Amino acid sequence: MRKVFKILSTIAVVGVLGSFGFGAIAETAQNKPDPKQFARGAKAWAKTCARCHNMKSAQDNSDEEWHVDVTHMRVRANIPGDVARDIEAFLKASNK
Amino acid sequence: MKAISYWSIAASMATAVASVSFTTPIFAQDINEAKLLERLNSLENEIKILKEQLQETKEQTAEVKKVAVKAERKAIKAEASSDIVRPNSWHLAGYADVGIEFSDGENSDTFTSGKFNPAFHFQYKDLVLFEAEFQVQTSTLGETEVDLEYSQLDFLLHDNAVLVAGKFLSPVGQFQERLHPSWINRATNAPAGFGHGGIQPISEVGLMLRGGVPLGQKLFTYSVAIGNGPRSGHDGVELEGFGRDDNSNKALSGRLAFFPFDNLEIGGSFLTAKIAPEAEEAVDDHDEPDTLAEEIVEGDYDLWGFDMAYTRNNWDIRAEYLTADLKGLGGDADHGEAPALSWEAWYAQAAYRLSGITDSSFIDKLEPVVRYGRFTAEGDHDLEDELNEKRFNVGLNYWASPSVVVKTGLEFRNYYADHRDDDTRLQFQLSYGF
Repeated sequence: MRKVFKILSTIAVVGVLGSFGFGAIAETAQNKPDPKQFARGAKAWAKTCARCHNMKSAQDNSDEEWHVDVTHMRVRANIPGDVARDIEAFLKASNK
Repeated sequence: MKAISYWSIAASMATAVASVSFTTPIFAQDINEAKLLERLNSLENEIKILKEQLQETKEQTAEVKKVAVKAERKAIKAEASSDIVRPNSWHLAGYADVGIEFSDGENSDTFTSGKFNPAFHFQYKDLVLFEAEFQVQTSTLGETEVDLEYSQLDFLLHDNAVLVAGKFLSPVGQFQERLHPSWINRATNAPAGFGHGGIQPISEVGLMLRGGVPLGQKLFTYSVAIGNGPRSGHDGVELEGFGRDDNSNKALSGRLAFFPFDNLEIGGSFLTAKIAPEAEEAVDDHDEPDTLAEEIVEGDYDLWGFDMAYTRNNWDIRAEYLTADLKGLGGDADHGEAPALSWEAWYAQAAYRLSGITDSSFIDKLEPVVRYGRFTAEGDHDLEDELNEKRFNVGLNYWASPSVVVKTGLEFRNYYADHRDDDTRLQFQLSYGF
C-alpha cells in the first residue's frame, strides 16, 4: 500500500509540474529569429553542444531536421526550452 | 628723288610681305583638313566599336538579369520549402562503426563488424517527441543481434521539465547516457566498469522527469527516474531496463548536476532498488517467476557516484566514479543473511585536439587521448577474478569531419586475478555519426 502511495504521489507531482506548461510551449520556433535570438543561439550552440561532442555544421540538416534534433538534444542534455529554441533559431538561420 | 626711291623700296617690301602672308596659310589649311579627316574617321571607328561593345554589354546584362531572376525565384522557392516544419516532423540519426583489434592476451586478433545504431526521432509540434534507437550487430557466432537501446515518449511539459516514459538510457553518470556512441567516445571502447557488464546502469523502464533550470548565469540540471530497476543475474546485478518487473518495489535513480561556469559540469548520481534473487523464468512471459512470494528475501542495492567534465577550447577532460553494494540478497531463515557484494569503478580521461597549433590541416584534425580507470568487485571470489582490473588507454584520433573519426589506440589491461595474464591490445576503429 505504501509503495502504491509512493508511485501515485510521484505521478501526482509530475502531473502538477506538467500542468504548469504542457501545451503552452510557444510555437515560436516557427518564427523568424530576431538578431538577439540569433546571437543568443550562436553562443548557446557553441557552449552547449561541445560539452559532449563535436559540433556538426548547421548545413548538415534541414530546418525540420534541426527542429527534431534540437528537441532530442534538449531532452538528452537537459537544455532549458528557451535555450533550445534559441539554438534552433540560430541553426535554421544558418543552414541556407 | 631720293625720297621717292625710299617709298618704292617700302612698297616693294610690303608687297613681298603680303604675298608671303597670303600664300603660307593656304598651304597649312590643306594639311589640317587631312588630319581632321583622319581623326574624324578614327573617331567614327571608335564610336562604332563602342556602340558594338555597348550592344554586347546590353545583351550580356539582359542575360545576367534573366539568370538572376531565375536564381532568385529558385532561392525563394528553396527557402520557402526549407522553412516548412510540419506539425509531424521526423529525423533519422544514429551511428555506425567497424574496427580491428590485435591482442597478445586471451583474445585472438580480429576484425570487428562493429555496430549499426539507427535512431528515429518523431516530433508532434512542441508537445511530444518519440525517440527510439536500435543496436544491430553481428555476434561472435555470426548471428545478427538486435537490441532496443531505448524507446521513449518525451512530453515537453515546460521549459524546465520534460516527462520521459518508456525505456530510456539510465541517467546515472555521464558515460552511458551521453558519451557511449562511438562517434562521441574518444576511446575505442568503454572504460572498465562502464558499459555492458559494468557497474553503470545501462537503461531503465519507467518514468523520468528531467530538465535544466537556470540559476542566474549558472545552470542546474536534474534527471529523476522511477522504474522497474535492476535484477540479479549471473554477474551479480544486471543493470538493464527490463520489460516487466520481477518485484513490486520500484527503483529510484537519477542525477543532479551543476555548472559553476560554462565549461565545467559537476554531477552526482544515485540508484536505490530492491533486488529479488535470480529465479527461473516461466515459459510463458506473462507468468510470474515460479517462486512463491513469501520465500523471497530481497536484497538492497544502492549505488552512488559523481562525475565531472571540463570542456574548453581544445581540451576535453572527464572523470567519473561509481560505487555500489548489494546486501541481503538470497538470505533465508535457514542460512542467515547472504554475504554482501560491492563494486567500484572509476576513470579519468583527457583529450586534446591539436587544431590551431600549426598551419597543417592534417595535424589540425588529430587528437591524442589518454584514459586510466579501475573496476573492482568484492564479496565473491569468482566475481572478483572475473571483473577486477586496471585499464590504461592511450590513443590518437583523426577527425575527418566533426562526426567521422578514425581512432587508433593501445589498451593495457592488468587483471587482479593471479591466473589471468595481462593483456595488451592494439585497436583501430572507424566511426561515423549521422
